[in-house]
This record gives sequence, C-alpha cells and structure tokens, in this order.
Amino acid sequence: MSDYLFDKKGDVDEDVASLERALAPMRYRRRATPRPTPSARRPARIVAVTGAVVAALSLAAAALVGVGREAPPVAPAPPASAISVRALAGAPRLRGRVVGGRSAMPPGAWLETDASSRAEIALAELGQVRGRVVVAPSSRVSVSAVGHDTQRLELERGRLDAVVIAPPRLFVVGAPGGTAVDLGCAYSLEVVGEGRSQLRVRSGAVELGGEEASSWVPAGAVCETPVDARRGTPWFEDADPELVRALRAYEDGSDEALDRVVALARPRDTLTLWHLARRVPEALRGRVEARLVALAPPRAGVTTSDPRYLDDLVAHW
Amino acid sequence: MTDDTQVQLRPVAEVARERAVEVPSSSEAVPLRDGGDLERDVVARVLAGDRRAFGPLFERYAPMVHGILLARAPAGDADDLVQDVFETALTELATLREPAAIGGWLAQIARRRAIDARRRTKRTEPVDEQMAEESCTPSQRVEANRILATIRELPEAYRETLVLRLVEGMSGPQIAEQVGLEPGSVRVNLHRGMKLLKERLGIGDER
Repeated sequence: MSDYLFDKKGDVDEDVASLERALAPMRYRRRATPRPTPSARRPARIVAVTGAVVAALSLAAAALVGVGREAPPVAPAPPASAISVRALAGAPRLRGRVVGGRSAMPPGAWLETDASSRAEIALAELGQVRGRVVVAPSSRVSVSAVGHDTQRLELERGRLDAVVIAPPRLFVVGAPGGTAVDLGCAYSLEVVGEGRSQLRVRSGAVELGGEEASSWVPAGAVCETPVDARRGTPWFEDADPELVRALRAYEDGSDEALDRVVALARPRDTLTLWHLARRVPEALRGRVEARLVALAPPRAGVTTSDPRYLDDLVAHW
Repeated sequence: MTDDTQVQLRPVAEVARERAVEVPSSSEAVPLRDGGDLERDVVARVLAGDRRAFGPLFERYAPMVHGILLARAPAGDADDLVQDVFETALTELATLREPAAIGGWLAQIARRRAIDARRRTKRTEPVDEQMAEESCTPSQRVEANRILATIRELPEAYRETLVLRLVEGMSGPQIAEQVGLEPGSVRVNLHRGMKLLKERLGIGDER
C-alpha cells in the first residue's frame, strides 16, 4: 500500500504536498558565492527586506529586460544555456572580431566596445536566471564563469548596466577593487580609476565586496571600491553633497571629517552611519553610534547590533 | 557597536578549498550505492590522505545535516553550522568505527552542534528570523517560518523527521538510511508528527 507521507509514492496527499510547497524556501541550498566578511555581513533579517524589494521590483525589471529583445537573433543563435552577446550600436568586438548577430560569449573571451559602440550581454538561462547587461562605450568585459551556481563577468574598464532576475548571489561582476554580488536588482558598475569602481543601484540591492569587508547597497545608493575598514561606505544619491565630500575626506584619512558626516546625516543617511559604525576605529565609534541612535532610536530590547534594528532602519531608507 | 550577533563562520566552498575537499557542482551526479559502498570507499580514501574524496559524502548528506540543524539550532544558524559539522567530521573521521554508519554519525555531530549553538547564543530566538531562501516572497517566507516554528514546538521524536521529510524533501526510507533509524520508526514518527502538526496548524482532517 502506498503511503505518500512515508515513501513519496502513490496518490499525493494534498495536505502533505501543500506543506512541502510552503516549506520549500527553507530547503538546503548550497551557496553559490562566498558570504561577505563577518565585519559587514548583513544579518538575516535584512534578507527579508531585500526579498520584498526584489519581489516588488521584479515586474519592473522584467519590463526592462524585455527592452533588449526587439532585434531578431541571427542564425545560428547560441543556446539559451550560454552567455551571449549582440551589438546595440557601432561595432563591438568579441575576441577581436566584430560582433554580428547574437553570438555565444564563452569564458575567457573579451568583449570590447569603442567610443561609439555598445553591446548587450544576455546571461545564460540556467535555472531561474534571466538578465541583460548593457556594455557602455569604451568598455572591456569578459565572462569568467557560467553555470547553475554562478554566472560571473569581469569588468576591466568602462561601464555596464545590469538588470537581473535571479536568486540572490548567482550573478557576480568582478571589477577593479571589488566584486558586485547581485541580490536581485538593476544597477550600474563603472570603473572610475585605477583599482576603483563605482556602483549605483537602481532597484533591489547589491553587495559590494572587497578583500576585507563588504557593503550592502540598496536602491538609490552609491558605493565605491575598494571596500575595507576605512573605505567603501555607501551613501544615498540624494544626500547632502557636503556629507559626501566629508565622507570622501574621512576615507582619505581625515578623522575630523567624520564629525561633518555625523552632523549632516538625515534619517535616510543611517545607511551611511550604520556602515560607518561597524568600521570606524573604537575611538570614533561613539559619536557615530550616538547619531545613529538619535536619528533612529532602537525599539525597546533591541540594540544597534541586533538584526531587527536593521529592519527598522530600512524604513528610513 | 559590536558584531556579537554575527557568527564568524566561513562558507562551505571556502573551507572545502582550504582543506582540498572537492565539492562537486550541482550538475554532477552524486554516486548513490546501496550497502554503504560509497561511504566505505570515501572514508578509506580520506583516511589514506585523499581529502578531496570527501566531496560526494558532503553532497549526499548535506541536506540531512541541514534538516537536523534546522529542527534544533538557533534561528538563522543552520546554513553556517552545516559547514561546521563537516569540518568536525573531517577532523574526527578516524574515530568512526563503521564507515557505513557515517550518516548516523554525522547526524549526531549535527545534534551536538545544534545544542552547542543554542547554548552559545545569547539572544532569544524569534522564529521569524529563520533564514528562508532569499528569493522567496515575504508572504512565502512568513508562512514557511510559521510552519517551521510549529514543527519545532513538536515533541523531539517528530521534529527532526518532519523537517527532513517536508523541508529537505527526503523520503522516509532515505531518512531511515541516512540517519540510521529503522524504517518502521520513521514511518511512525512521520504519521504521528504529521497528525500533531495538522492539529496545531488547523489543517486537513484534524481540524
């Protein structure tokens, strides 16, 4: 006699099946990429918020992805399981050859755009991954990994704009000074100097990681590599320009500038303060912490290091 | 501000690399052989110095270990503790008397780690902090957390079996084989546990 609960055979018990479906999000799933360093790991609760953001923005992202589909591919089209590229303007080159119709972009192959060309990279449709990456003029990009666990590009110079619908952490872009790990989002990543890249997130969130630390960058925020104990703190694009200047000055070594950052911070700038509070030297931490708490007082029983505090902070962001 | 709520554990892949343990990609088939042949082969090879051989065992038993941790460990810690369990297993492999019983042995390590983690944690355990897959919607997450919290309140005998069956998707025979229980016991635990769970959730015939 079959017993669906025991051996998963025979007639499906609908009560059991509905519980299986409901609990599926808890199932073990091997991680695709290393987690951020402990000093900047985003606590579990914030993941729920990210999930909400991802869900809310999925339709918008899907619409954006659809934009790149107007041109029919030239036969033979590469399989959907491969990362592919097509020209959007001018004559981008893959392995030195002009890209004609949609072409497969294998690992190790470099795509280059000149000052008048742009290209679109389609991520491999493996599992739940769907995504388009527009490569701006004067850029150089390669594929370093493609598989069910990870799809990774390397941006050597220039800029790319990515819209990705995928489980978090499956799409990664390496750039000078850091690595952008997709958490379900749309963003731009640009090389802005030697060993320096700038990330601007339009929707969802991205984790920008360096060797020593990583930052969580939500929609509307900007962050630059390198990310370490002093640098790589995100800020919102609508922050007071003076705050941004002060933040840069602090990152360049001026401890005094931290006071200006603290003084100019709005409730929304708790994004910046929260990251700073976890990174500044002990001697400076008190003033950052005090301002953080003043702008966003923790609920009773919740400390600023409590993951629940982050959920509350997001309301200010 | 301190990071005392953050567990400083490294990702499995990183640990595997450091220890030269081969963790196969998900597209690779995991050899499944009856009678403990795989386990005996792997244990012998690892003890002979080939630590890369541990990969297939990791792939085979990680969901079971995760399920046990999920049923017992503090909320949100299960993912990180999986790697901890396998690190311990690699370190203590020489103490394993019967390689074919490695599943039950891993389960014991997982239970010990879960207890250690519960002792270590200073915070209370809000069940809604359990780490659900990050891509699910908030409502799915809330529902999954609610059900898991209810399972975690069931008597211990049912808790683990139900998590392995309903969360990790293992069949009763697989649970019995991997955890080292009699199939009959697993069947009984599943049915009694499910009856209680449905009562507490207010679903199905038990309403």
